Amino acid sequence: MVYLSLFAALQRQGGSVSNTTHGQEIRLEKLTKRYPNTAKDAVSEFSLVIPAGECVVFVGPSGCGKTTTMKMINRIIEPTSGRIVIGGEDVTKTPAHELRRNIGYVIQQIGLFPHMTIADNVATVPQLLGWEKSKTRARVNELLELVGLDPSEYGSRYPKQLSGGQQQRVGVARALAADPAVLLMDEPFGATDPITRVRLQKEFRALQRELKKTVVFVTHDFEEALLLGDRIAVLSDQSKVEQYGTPLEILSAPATKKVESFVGEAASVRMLGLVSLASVSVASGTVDGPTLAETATLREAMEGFITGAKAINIGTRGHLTFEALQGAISSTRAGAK
Amino acid sequence: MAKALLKPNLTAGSMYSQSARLIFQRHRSLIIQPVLILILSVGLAISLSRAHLDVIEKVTINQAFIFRAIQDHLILSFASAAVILAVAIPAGILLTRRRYKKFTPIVLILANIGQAFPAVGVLIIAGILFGFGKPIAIFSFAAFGILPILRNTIVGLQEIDPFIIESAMGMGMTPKQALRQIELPLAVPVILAGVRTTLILTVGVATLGVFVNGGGLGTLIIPGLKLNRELVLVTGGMLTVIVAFTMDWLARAAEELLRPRGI
Amino acid sequence: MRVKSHKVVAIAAAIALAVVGSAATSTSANAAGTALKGVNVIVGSKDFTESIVLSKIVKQFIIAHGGKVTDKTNIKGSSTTREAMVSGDINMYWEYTGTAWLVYQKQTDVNISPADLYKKVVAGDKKAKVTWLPMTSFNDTYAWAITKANATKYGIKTYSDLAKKLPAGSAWCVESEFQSRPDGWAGFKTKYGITDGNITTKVLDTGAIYQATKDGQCMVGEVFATDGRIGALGLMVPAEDLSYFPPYNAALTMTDATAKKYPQLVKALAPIAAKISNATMQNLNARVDVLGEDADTVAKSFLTASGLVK
Repeated sequence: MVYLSLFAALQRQGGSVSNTTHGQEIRLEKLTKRYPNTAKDAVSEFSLVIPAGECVVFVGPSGCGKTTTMKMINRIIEPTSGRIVIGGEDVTKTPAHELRRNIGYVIQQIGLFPHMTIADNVATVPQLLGWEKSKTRARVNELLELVGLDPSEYGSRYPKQLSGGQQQRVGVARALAADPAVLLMDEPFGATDPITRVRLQKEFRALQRELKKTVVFVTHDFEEALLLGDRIAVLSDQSKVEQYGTPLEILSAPATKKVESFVGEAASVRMLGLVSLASVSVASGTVDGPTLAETATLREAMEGFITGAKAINIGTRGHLTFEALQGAISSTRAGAK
Repeated sequence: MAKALLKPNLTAGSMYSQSARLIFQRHRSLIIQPVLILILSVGLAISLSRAHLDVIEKVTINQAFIFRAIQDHLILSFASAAVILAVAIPAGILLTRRRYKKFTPIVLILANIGQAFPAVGVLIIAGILFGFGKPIAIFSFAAFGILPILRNTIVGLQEIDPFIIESAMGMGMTPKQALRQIELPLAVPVILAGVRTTLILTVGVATLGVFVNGGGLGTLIIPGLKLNRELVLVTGGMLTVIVAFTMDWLARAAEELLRPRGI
Repeated sequence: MRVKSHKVVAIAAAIALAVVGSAATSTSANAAGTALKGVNVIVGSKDFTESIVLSKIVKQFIIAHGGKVTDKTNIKGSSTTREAMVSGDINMYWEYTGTAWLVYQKQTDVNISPADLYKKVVAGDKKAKVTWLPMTSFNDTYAWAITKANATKYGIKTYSDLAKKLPAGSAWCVESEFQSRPDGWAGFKTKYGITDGNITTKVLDTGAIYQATKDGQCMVGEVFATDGRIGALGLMVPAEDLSYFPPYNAALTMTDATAKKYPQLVKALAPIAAKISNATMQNLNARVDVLGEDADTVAKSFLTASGLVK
């Protein structure tokens, strides 16, 4: 399978994707879902503010209601009570289909329309919005390239001719087609193999940095949450918010026992993977030893020392000593609190 | 897997862009069937024109009578199939909507009863009550044949992966748009299979038209049977088979044309 | 002692008399019940009530006299039943003189008296190795029925009246077999000068015709003369002024082989036909068609009432 790296694609287009709508703030106020004939709420008074342009990850064990909560935002599941405000507008009662045409929706099962070509699948929302055919065609090509699929090769194929990973890329392209401000993603990479998944995650992170949509991302995989989230909401039963903060905050200071047990072991070490070396002070001059880029993390530096380095060069800026690393670590912990 | 032969067409409606030669290759059996039907018909016509007919056989074995019988039979078959389609497909769609799902068991029971009735008895009672002739024959035949299409419509719609439908709703389709653009196209193959079964069924049942002044090929079969004139009986039977084959061919052609690509 | 021996003799004589007497009675009773013992036949019939009832009469008669019967009545179509007998599927069934004359022997002359027709038919069937038992007096011919009300309204007394006095486009209902028969629809129309343009022909199932004529969906219905429903539904049959239909007297037919195998059977069955008059046949038919009685029951009660079975 020919795979175009995302950055290569972006560079060919001379920079960012044209006319991107940046994200809007989402306020969820006391969203509740109670199914008939059940003893307790599936989701109980869920309140959260998702800042504009950020990717917020809902993480939690199976059955905690995270997917239900997400699906209430575009009212695929109608809330029993509560308010949804997007970009300052109360959308709790607007006609559902209108609301959804402005929200991108990607689900774990992908759900491409098997009887339509890839191009027609991606063109779904623009068609519903009545875009002009040439505009739609251009947009479809643009998006397919964005997710790494050559439009001239894949555009006229049918979903069953694509692999799982390719199908999910199409799913993402389809969600972005009408350039919505908000994106809802429910375990979108769950149906792919681990190698493809990591690749998709990294691509998505890069994409999100460019597009700055407001994304609500649901996963049960904490590592994925750490990788993709600007903020993480750790949820427990009935979607109770155990903690809502940046990845660093959650790793360094888990608020409750539930968060602790969810985060799992070696939180401190994993934290090191979140901080880049760009902010660490170094001694001047380069020495004999390994070199790491500015974008490398404290964790990679630690690895270097564990495997025997006496000092590590940071790009061309200078070199890092072990003591300096220790200092960077403790100030990170202090800063996180 | 079919490879795109033409430049990728990225607008909607890329279903029908196929070259003629490819169509022939893929549908070879559809071309052969009507040829066979033609051969059978011509063969029958020739042997009838050569046969020595006695007084009784001459009444039914003549061009006018046979053409009339075939014409009536086609009218009965197509008309009852049309009635069935007009009732069963909307009913099937309705019964798969959330609000009306609970009526499904009772409707299926009613449709089943239609199949279990002794056909001639019901036909005659209906004729006595509502008047003999083609209309009552058509409606009675429709009642007998409603089950396959109704069942296939329901199953065809129920079989669709619910996440595809959820996707459609998530994109912002209204329920009606999802039905028209997603559900029905995906259910078409199963529904059409039901249509084909129904058409063959109505061709068979339409032979009963002879009992209620509805005409049809039964007007050859019954006298042939009762008066022990094999030629008449076999002619009636063969013509019924030829009509059934023709219906089968038409339905399969429709299936091929209307099947969405990609599934 | 002498008194005692008188008494003994008297008692002994009385007992002996009683024993002999009862033996005699039981012998005569057994004689009736075993006259046809050893007979094992298959009885068939056509698919309409009269044919079925007649065959059930024969069946119950044989059984009452100790014989064995396999019941294969209610076979669809005249010719099919005849074929069944000739091929051995059944041994006997009741046929009509007119039908045999026209359909099997392929004759066309219909201006013959019932008795003469019978003789000709019997002679003609010798080649086919079919034996005819004596015929009934009733003539179950094809007939046209019209409601009594319409008959009065249009002054209908004969078939010619039907042809001439009814309004244009009146519906004549026939059964599909009648349309194809040489003694059927086409010939009748020609004989009585009826043109297709003046009437409407409807083809219905035989049973439906009676009700449809009563209801008015048919002005004239093709019926059978001895059918019980004619009277029951208020219909009447005008007179056949121009003779078109041949006589249709009924008689039991069986293969020569069967007749040879059971000569006692032929002799025993012979008197049955004479006991069935027009009125009797209509009555028996009505009990089945109108009152819904079971044909075997009706047959049995006829046999008892007529004294054929004691």
